[in-house]
Amino acid sequence: MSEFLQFVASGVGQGAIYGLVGVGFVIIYNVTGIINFAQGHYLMLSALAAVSLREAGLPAVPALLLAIVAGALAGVATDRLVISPARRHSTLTLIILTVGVAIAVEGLALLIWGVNPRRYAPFTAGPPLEVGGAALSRQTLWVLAVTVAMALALWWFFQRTVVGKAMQACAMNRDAARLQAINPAQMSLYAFTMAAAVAGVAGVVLVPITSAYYDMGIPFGLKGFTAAVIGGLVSPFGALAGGLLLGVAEAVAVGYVSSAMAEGVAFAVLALMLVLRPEGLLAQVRTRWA
Amino acid sequence: MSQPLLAVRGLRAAYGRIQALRGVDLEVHPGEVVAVIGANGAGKTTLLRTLAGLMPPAGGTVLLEGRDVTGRPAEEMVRLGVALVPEGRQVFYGLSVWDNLVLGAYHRRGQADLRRDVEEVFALFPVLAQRRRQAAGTLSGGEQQMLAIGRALMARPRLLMLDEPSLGLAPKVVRDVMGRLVELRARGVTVLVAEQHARAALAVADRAYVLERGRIALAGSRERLLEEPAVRAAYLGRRALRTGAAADEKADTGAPLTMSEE
Repeated sequence: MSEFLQFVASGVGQGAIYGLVGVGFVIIYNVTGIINFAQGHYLMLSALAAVSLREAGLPAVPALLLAIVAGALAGVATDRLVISPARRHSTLTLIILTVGVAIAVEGLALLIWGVNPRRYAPFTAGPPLEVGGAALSRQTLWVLAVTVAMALALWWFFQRTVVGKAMQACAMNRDAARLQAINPAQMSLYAFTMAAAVAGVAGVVLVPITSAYYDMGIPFGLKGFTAAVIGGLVSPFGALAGGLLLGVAEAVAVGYVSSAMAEGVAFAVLALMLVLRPEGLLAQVRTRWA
Repeated sequence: MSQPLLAVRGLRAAYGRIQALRGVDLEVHPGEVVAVIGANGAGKTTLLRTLAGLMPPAGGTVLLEGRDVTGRPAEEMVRLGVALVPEGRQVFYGLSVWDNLVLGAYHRRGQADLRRDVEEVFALFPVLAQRRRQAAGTLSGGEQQMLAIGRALMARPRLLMLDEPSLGLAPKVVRDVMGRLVELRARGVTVLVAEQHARAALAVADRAYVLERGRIALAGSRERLLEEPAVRAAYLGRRALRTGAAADEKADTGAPLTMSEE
């Protein structure tokens, strides 16, 4: 039992990251209809930027904040330079364009940072903490705390601000939103920026755990997408829950079977979800954003 | 007469190669309630969607107080004072009544007087006040129609356009909704309403246009159209003229009108 708890403890940290990436998929998909395959790449950019900014001598807090801004700017660039000019084309074309963005960003990262993983010290030094018989690394606690903070911030944004409501309205009925002077192009920009910023946050809290490397965008993007699909692709909070579920499933499979299982679990869960329950495990929260 | 609030000249619109509007001329003057009546597929929805900026016109001009606004997108038309209550209401189902209304004033967001405007909508439609926290999707059809009108009013339009407000509503509710249009005119709102339900529309309109296969087939004051034999036959239903509201349903089918030139 304590072994199982340990797997859960090591899974929730990763899972929270998948969830944060998944939130971005949900936001962009709902507002624009696009599945953004560059989603994991914003995480990669922010993670690598954090390492470089810290190495350049910046104190930790500004380095991390600037790294998140860098990820968010990549989202702005995706919308303004790629999606917005191609807006007249079909959604499928736009989705394929995001694959192009992902490849381009990864190539750029390879040129800038090279192939070697980069390390970043945990935010707080010290031994793991004992929680109910399982050891939780201090960085995992950071990840969980930041994830909770992000969830609260998103809830506040979508439930309490007019712009958040406008984004929901645009997701529910684009024509009706336009009739209220809500500009879908602007909502698209907001969606890409937010999604990239949330992925960026995930990137900087993750980097002390996994290190940062130029081709981490695809695996994290895939797992974020799986998390979003588990949540039914309609609810940011469903995506967060889906991420935690996926992270724990992965850790359990690795622990009981083999570390070679890690990648397979996400693919298997994604395939099963799309075939058996494409509406998500949490279908009743459809169209609810909180 | 004064300068028209809205003047439409030779407006054309098409879906691919299918012509939906083949040169529509119409005018709406400040303070009027103008109806566009016509059968299903006559082009009423296309006309209003084009005027609202949801569809680009294929030709013609749209003047708002003499200013050329042809082809402006919906986001801009709302700011210019043209609001549309779309066909089928299209309220934001997952959002509360209150949120729907606040989004109606999206381009004025942050302004201090929004709350007062919401209260004014509640005064016009008291049922919405009782349901302010309820999700719009849980409202009845008539309540949703009132919410859609209230949402459009939140933009403080000079011209309020309504597309088929009677659709799917019980006759009593239709009369209620139409009655509100008269109330709105008293408050200085100019109204352009497209209706298949000619009887309901003519009951409140000052003037009306009959739209047929993308063209204006007939135009005139309410009194004139109510007298027009072709309108009576095609849109009001012969039986309806004798038995009043009993044949409301029948009128909805509106067979094509064999033009008044005859």
